[in-house]
Amino acid sequence: MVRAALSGCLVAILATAAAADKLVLTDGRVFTGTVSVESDTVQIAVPYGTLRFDKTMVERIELMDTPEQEFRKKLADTDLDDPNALFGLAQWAGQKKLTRQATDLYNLTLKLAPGHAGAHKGLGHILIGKTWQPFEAALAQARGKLEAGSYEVLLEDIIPALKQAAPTRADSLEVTDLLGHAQLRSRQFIRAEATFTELAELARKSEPPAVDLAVRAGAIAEILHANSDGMYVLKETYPPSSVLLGATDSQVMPGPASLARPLALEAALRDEAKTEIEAGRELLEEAQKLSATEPDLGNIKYALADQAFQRADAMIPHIARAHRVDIARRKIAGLRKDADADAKDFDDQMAKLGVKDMPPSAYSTMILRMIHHLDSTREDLRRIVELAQVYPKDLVLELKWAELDLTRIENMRKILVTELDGRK
Amino acid sequence: MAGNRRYIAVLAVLVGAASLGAAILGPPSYCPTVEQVQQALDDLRDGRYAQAEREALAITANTEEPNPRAWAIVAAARQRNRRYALAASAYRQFLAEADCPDSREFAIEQIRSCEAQAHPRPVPVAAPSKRLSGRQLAELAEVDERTCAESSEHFIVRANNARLARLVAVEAEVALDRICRVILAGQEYPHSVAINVWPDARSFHANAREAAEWAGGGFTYSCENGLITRQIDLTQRDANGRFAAVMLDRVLPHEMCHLVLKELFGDAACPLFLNEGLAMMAEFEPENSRIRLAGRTVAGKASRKLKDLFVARRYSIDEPLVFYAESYSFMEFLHGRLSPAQFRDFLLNVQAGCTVTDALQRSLYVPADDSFLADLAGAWEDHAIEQTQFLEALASRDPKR
Repeated sequence: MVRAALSGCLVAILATAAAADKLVLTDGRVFTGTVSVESDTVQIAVPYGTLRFDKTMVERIELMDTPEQEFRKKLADTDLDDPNALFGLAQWAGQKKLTRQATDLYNLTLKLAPGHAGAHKGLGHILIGKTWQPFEAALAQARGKLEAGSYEVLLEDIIPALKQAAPTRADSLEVTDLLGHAQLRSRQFIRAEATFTELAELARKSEPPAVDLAVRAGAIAEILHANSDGMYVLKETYPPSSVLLGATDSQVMPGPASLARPLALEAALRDEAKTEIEAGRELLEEAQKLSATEPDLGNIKYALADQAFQRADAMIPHIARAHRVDIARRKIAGLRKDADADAKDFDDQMAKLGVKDMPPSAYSTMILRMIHHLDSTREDLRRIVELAQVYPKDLVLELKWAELDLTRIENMRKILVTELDGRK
Repeated sequence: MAGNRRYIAVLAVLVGAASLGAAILGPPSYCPTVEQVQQALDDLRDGRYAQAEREALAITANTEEPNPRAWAIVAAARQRNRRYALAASAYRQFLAEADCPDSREFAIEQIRSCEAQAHPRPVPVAAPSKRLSGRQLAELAEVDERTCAESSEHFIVRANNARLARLVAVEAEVALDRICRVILAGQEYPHSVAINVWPDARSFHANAREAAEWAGGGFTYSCENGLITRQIDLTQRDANGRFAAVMLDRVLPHEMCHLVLKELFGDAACPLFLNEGLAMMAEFEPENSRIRLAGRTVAGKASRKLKDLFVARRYSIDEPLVFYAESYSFMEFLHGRLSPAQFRDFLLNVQAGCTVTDALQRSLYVPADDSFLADLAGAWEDHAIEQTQFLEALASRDPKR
């Protein structure tokens, strides 16, 4: 069975094998790639293309094994029933960046010796309790341990292993987030503050930037900095709807509470989000007042308000969604107004057509002007569709109307363009 | 030797300056009382108030590194232990040390709350007519030939009875204050309102043309040629020629609430249930029959009832009594459960065009949730049934209720 799997692995390796010859020129330049000789020229295929040189320019050709070729030779010499031998070769392959081959060999090692720690580590598995688990499963289990309050094992064993095994940058950010929360819940407030500060920085710098995570981690770091004794004073009961909808078992009363309690941290984040929403609402009102007289300034205020709402949403998901829908709705209303003005101009031009005689050139100019009005309306409608598509459920009417109008405009435009082309 | 001493002195100054700089610029890297604070918070959470108080007091009195923030724990422990006067004094200590506006605001609010709890609650003021003797009521039923006018800060009252005009002016101010300050949580009303008290139903209907046939009062808010008219029309006597006490106790505050809401909502539509529910709340005494009726009708079908309530229009109401009872019950439930600031925010959100559930979720600063309406209906149903059961229990003891 193992041999069968291994032969499959070998076939794949052979298929990808390529030479790594060295071409040394008389002027001292050295190229590495696949060399072939054709009458008077020597060709070398390098990663960025093929180079040709006259034979006279070549000092010597060194034919060398590629890592794949070397791997093939080593594999031939390896005892395929010895898990340690396979593991050794897998490690070598890993060092030579032959990732797929290394993974295959680690898996083969585990088939022979299911508890082989080195092979598990090589595959990025993490030991939780007595079982090795792939990264994703281990991360999920670590989250479970956090909820269960097993902070010690989490901080000492699992998170360091997860951090080391994190396959991507995003995974690494998730592990750091987990670390921060584990420190926080185990009341290591100063360490948690440092971790969240670092996480905010890493999230901001990651590619693409994890903006929401950066904002949230930054807010937690600030909360911890302002409350270094780990005590947060809640101004109202949390969750805030519990007074209205009836008390639940898990709620925090107004007054001092430990930030190690997840609900107290949520309450603190919600207070931060509330501040952002209040600032956003003020900006929104200013934008509304300005949009009629100074639309550009109004748009800047809308953008600032949207930023404030985004920050709030980053702290507590969807807390400011309704306000963001408001912004979209108001922007759509402004665009509708512009589109209606253009449509009216179009109708005025249309009314003039056929009423009085006009020379062909004037007729064409008028058609062109009408197309221009349609294009302008079309731009507004496209922008409306763009805005409404983000919230299709909330702005269903705006979206449908804009789509319907767009279809009508496209049809009218076609007629006008045909008319204009016919004139030409 | 002298040179060495000079170096030591310079070094000492440098070290001192460096640590001072770190103290000023750097973040607090260590809080010595963390463990004690956390222990006190654990005890507070678990209801061991005396222990939490003791521990927190020890932190505040710690001579080496006192943590004045622990006064918040002391105060909360006392407050939850119902020792309100002492809690207020601890909140004052916390207030003196609080370094952020939110904490200060919280402390002030809690001091107020503790002081209110520490003192016995004032007996609710009885409805105006209940404070009048039989003779006074009879005098108020008298109708003079002459129309008297009486004015107060917000009202100009006209009635064919000087005493009544005076009384209405006083009670109108009381009702307006309650509506603006208590019910609408800080609504301003810098306007002047004309109140006409017509001697009987016939003259009332002849003058208050917009009033419904069955109504004993009505309000007018109109704008003509830039002139805004704010007016309330009332009826002095009932069909039997007696003074209509209900006019003072219910109709006056009810119509006034409509007028204030009209001002608050402007051109925006005010949902009918909200308008009528708040107007009924403004009346001087709750009507128990409404509470009972609401409890009976809502039981088991609050979700559907609530949806119908939100979209009800005057012409679409099948059972007006049930509608009024449910409107009153729901608004009283909302008003009681939301903080004044939340309630005010809710009204402003409705005024801005939000749906009721959206307005509520915005005023609570919670993410929109599809199950919110169902949860709200459930909570309202529980409240309405509880209120009804309470009244039934009282009625079984005192049949007059």
